[in-house]
Amino acid sequence: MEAHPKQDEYLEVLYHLRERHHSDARSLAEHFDAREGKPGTGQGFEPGMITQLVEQGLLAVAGDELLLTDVGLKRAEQIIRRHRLAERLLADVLHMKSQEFEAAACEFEHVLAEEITEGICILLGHPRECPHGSPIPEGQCCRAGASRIGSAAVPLTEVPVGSTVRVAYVNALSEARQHQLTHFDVVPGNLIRVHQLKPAVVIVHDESMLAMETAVAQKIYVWRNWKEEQASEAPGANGSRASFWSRLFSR
Amino acid sequence: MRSARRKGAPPTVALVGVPNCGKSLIFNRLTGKSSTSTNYPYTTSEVVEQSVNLHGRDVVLLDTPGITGLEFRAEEEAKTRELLRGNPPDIIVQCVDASHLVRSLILCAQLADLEIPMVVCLNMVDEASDKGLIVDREALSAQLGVPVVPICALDGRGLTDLSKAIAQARVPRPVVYPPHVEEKLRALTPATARATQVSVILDGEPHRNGQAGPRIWHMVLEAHHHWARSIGAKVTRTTGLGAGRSFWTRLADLALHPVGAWCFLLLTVALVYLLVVEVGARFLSVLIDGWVVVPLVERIASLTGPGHLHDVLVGPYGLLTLGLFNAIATVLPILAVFYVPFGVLEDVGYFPRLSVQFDRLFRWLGLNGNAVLPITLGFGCSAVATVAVRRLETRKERFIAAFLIALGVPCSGQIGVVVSILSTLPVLALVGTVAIVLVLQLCVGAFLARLFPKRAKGEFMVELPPLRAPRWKNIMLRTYHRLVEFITEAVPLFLASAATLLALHYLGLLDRLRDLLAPVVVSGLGLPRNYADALLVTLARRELGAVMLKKMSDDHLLSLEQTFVGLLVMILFLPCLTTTMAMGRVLGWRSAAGISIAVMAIATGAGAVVHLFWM
Repeated sequence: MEAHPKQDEYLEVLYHLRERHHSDARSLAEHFDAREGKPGTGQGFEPGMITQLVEQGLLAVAGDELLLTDVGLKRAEQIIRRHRLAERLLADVLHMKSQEFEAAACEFEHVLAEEITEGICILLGHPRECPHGSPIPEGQCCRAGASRIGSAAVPLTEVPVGSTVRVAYVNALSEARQHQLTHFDVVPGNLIRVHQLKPAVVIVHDESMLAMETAVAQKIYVWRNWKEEQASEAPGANGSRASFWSRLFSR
Repeated sequence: MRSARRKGAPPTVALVGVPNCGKSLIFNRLTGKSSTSTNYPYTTSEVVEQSVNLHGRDVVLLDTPGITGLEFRAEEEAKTRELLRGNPPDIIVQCVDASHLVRSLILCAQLADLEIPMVVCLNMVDEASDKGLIVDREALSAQLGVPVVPICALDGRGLTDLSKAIAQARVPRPVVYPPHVEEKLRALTPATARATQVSVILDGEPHRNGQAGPRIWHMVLEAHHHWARSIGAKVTRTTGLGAGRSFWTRLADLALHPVGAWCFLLLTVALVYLLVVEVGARFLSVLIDGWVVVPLVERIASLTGPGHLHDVLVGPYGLLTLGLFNAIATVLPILAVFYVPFGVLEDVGYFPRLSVQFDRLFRWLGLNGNAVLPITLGFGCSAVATVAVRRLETRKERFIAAFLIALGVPCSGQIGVVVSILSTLPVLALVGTVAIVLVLQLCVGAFLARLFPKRAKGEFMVELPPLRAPRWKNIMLRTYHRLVEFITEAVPLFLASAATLLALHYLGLLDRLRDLLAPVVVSGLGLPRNYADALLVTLARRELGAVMLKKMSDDHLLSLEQTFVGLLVMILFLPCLTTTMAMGRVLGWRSAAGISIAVMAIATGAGAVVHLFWM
């Protein structure tokens, strides 16, 4: 399970403090106190979170300083990127006012999957700053200079065999099928791997395999992972036939 | 809502859980009984009851068909739903598959709303650790508020703990719904008891609630889902030591590959054929016949001398020869040999993969991959298969599947004996029989598909359980139980049929019956008159008809053509009475009658055509 909103929150705050060069424990406590409306009490923040972050390898404690590790920094950057892109989207495209878009972005950022974030970034033309002027960390799409989103959500049947994709939504399936999919946890947000498309569609989710007819699979929309496709377009990659046999005999 | 129970009656303990999580295995272990447990879901189709003493307490233990949700109206889950909501047990033991925690937790949330004391039994811990998942039993127990007992049903570990824990069953902590859901629930009903709220939503009249009922249930389900996922995340640890690509995962991939699957299937069928013929028919059967039956028959014959008693006991319709010895010497060894590889294929998890392979093909027949499992069960027993047909969603699929099972899917006993007859004929006979039966099935299926409106279509979706190494102990136990079942069910029928034929013979009615059928049997099919006996007897048990045909063939009473035609007609002919009754229950009596007549016509028609064109 990837969603850790509490951790994300702390990482975000730590990143902000880092930007302002105030990466010590006291600043952190002050920030949370201010947030909770209890200045100076030290009650807003949970020391347990710090320990958790250190255990996960996201944070390093050096005396009084709290330093984000490389992994932690990367993760924080992703979170900040999501947040600031969301702000851009809400401000520029939806013309929301500052108070509105800030609160909305805070909620919004937690549900933005990577693929959607990229879509928004490309849509807005890779903005470098949020409405407040703070820098937006670069993403893969910025570096690649991507200018095309294509249709980000595609039917499952249009995804290359062997790729791992995230479920976007399910389009008007019968109640019975909907129930089955929910039971097997194939729900929006979850990752599935496409095992094969012929003679029936077989997907793998969390180690369980599900087979379904093409007509049903066409109604399951997933975020197309264009990074994977770029990799498979590289020379030497064959169609699914070769990859099956190599998969069969591979380690 | 609790049903009135006699004071002092032992408490009912229901084993509930999602399909294919091991309930039946646990039931068997706790009761010593043998309800079937396999590696595909919905094997248990009825609620099975058994009184048992668990750790000093007398209880009535119930095994239930798997259930995915309290509201879902799937046919195969109906019985469990009715039990839980209409006649609730005193204690629920939920079997949770540790390797698929979330789906069990979703069900747990719904069971919690019933406010019945529960125990959670954590099964398949080995499989979970193979995947690199470890479930923290104590954390789970703390989260749910009920005792959690880890179990390995296969080895029987943890069963004593389970028996003890049942005494400590507690009502689980209800799922906390978000405020907006609570609000809507309050608007719907003033009742605060969760169980009552649930029953109002699920049973409420649509016109009274408007859209409110289903919408609230949708929100409730979302809350359950969210709860299940967050608990799952809290109590599961990944060790990162996943199974990797074992032999079995590779085999599983092969069984799904468009070309590989067919090679695999042909290889398997060839292997089973060889086993049944070489070991079952040519070796075991001959052995038992030579060492046990023939001497016994001679002894009895010498004791009785010629005359009525001789005929009654060991004559052509002798109670002992036709009734008993055939079952033991001819059918039993073949069945034993057939059930082992069949059991292996079941246990290993092969059959669900067949549904992927045959999905496209089945569409020509108006069916889809969902029908593969019921039809494959037909190779075991056609009555069981016909009952399984209920699972199919549309009437069209149920009708066509039941028809095809009745027409051309031979059950295990019939396969065994038919194969042993075919082994005495040239190979072309085997090829010819299989080809004609398959082509007929395809044509009939395609024809039937056209009879029904096109838009009535089911949708194919099935879970593929992982292919795993066969559990030999389990397979042997099941084979043993199946053989015992054969002896207890079939032998009395064999004896009864033999007695009936004897009676008819002595009353002179048998000849009349043969005369009646002679136009079809002799002129149409080119077979001797007494073939009619074999056909009649097929209605009681398919094996018996085949056995009588085998006897005629062994006694050199039939030419090659006659054996071939006789075999073909018998395979295609009506299934046993039990199956016909199952058809009646599943499809209605008019359909069952119609199918029976059609099947008889097709069988005799096919035989007549072959007879006509035999070169």
